[in-house]
Amino acid sequence: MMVRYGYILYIAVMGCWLVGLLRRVVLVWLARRRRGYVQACYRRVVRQLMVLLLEERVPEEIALPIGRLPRWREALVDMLCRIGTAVYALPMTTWRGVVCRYGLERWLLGRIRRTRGVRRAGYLKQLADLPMSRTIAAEVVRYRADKCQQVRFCALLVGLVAEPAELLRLVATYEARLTMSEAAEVLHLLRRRLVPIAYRPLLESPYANLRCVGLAIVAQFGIEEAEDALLTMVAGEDAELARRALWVLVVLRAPLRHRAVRQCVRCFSPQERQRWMRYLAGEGYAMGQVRWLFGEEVYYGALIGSYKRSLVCG
Amino acid sequence: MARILILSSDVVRTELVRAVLMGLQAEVRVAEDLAAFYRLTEQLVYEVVLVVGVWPFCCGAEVLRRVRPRPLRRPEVYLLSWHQAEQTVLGMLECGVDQYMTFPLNPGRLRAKVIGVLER
Repeated sequence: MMVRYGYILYIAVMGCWLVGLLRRVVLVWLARRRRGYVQACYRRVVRQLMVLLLEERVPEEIALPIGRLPRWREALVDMLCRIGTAVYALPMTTWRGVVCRYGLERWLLGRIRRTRGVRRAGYLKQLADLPMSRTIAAEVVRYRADKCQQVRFCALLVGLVAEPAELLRLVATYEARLTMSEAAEVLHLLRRRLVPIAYRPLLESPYANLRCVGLAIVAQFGIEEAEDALLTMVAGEDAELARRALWVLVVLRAPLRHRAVRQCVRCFSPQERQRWMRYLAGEGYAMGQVRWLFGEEVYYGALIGSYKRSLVCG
Repeated sequence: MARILILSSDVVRTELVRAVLMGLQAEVRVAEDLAAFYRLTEQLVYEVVLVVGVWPFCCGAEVLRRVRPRPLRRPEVYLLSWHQAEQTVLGMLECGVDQYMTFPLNPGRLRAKVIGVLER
């Protein structure tokens, strides 16, 4: 009797285990099939979107097979943002037509209102990547006073996109100091919107943020003629900007044998000195430069030995 | 018919480049990873190879050595990337890339360059 019950219990347990395994296999297969289906839909929509934009179709002709995608508004916004950042001079009528046709601006505003922190900043960034109306941009102005620094910066980006003529004023009057990545974002916006900006007035501007943008332009385009302006900034009173100008000098592989550079470097903490030496070794500066700047040889000698590259900056 | 090969792991950029090349008298194929890319280059010869991103060149110029086996005809290799640093551009040109174009792209310019190669 006990043996029979034992057999029944054993069969029941094995049966449950088999059913669980089978269920898991079926769920994995269905998920994979759905993922393949969603990817195929995604590709089809991206392809049609590109055809619409490149052929400059009028907004009345816009009809994307978007309904079958899960979370289709999110997917469509993502596609438009990625296309918009990767291509110059998209036809504004068609691009704006797609945004209005599917109510993406209002949807994004709703998301911005209902979220906080980094998620809100992400949605604001997406709004900045789309062609938007001034009324929408006006509704975002209040986020420039948000607690989160990323939200404030993304709200600034929305303002820059809506009013490109006010770009310099908005960047100059932004309360916080732009970080290097934020300055690079502003620069990217300038390139996309084909806004010509001269770097020298920016470097000589009394506003710190405009000087940050100027530094980003010089670093990105390798403008060696700006060396004198960079040295002036290194010798300036603003320590943060002096360090950034020093970094840009190294990016340009400029010689560092200037009194201003030496005085700036002498103010570094020991950890900063080591970090800088590692950076200089990575960029190919020879021992002579470092000896003149830091007066240290042993640590830098070991760094040069560990970097398998030729020295290019004597 | 001419053949164009696109090497790109990103769906949006692949479709972007494919849409730019739409309507040309050429067959366009796409490889999403290096294994598919090597398989396609071994099967057929291409007139233009468009590489999106510098990630295939992490192992150096191996990608181009496989695309250009002698004595077959040498395809034009165009690289489309976000990197703008001078060292990166020079490094890619030294690897053997024929044209280096940065994002954001001008679709008309890319199309004109590919047409120029196909009409040679």
